[in-house]
Amino acid sequence: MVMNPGLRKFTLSIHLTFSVGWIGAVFVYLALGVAAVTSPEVQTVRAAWTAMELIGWYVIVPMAVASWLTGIVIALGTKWGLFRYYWVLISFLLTTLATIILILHMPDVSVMAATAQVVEGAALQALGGDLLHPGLGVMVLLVVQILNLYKPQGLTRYGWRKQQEHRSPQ
Amino acid sequence: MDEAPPVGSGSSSQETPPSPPKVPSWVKVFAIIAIVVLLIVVVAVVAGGGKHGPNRHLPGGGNREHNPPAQYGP
Repeated sequence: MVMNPGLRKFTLSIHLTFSVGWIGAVFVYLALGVAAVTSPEVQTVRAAWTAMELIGWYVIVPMAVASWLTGIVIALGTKWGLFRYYWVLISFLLTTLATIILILHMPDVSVMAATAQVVEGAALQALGGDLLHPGLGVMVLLVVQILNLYKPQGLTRYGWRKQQEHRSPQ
Repeated sequence: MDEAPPVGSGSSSQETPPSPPKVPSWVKVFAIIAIVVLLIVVVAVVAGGGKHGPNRHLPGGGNREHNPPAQYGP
């Protein structure tokens, strides 16, 4: 089903809002992670972990899921499709991977945020700042964003077959 | 996805290629980079003793609740 232009633009607006918001929220998470690693103040480290947990569960996870879902809707609702072009397929796979890893990782963040409230000294420092996961995650999201902006050419075999069927329906 | 896909995308002409198009070179480069990054991550996890998650940070192990922070919930 191909969406009409009005619905397509509306869906695209929602998709862009969630996708760009996801990237922005991960940068905020990274800033808090850096504060958790570098601050000598126990209260700052604890506050950073509390904020990381809240932002993770209530901003980043919802935005990731919403971005993934709206991405599928807009792909299937336009002639781009989900599996017809390499850039769409790769974007979909990377977004799916990032969303799964995020959801699997967040319980660990909850554990570390709870731990940060009760430990001190070396044990608090040992928590680190959870910089690796969001660091890799933001790189993946930026790659997806670049693919979506530049749309490099390349038709998949499935996309080629669909084009053939479309041109010779009999 | 705000623009219509080009007709015959994947070939230099505007027609659908008569045979299945080859995998573009950018996709091959992309796949190689992805495999290298994946191998680095696997090696890093294995070199870290195969432990992944909060257990590597916590002396008592990850026995706490693994849920969203209900006390802050809406």
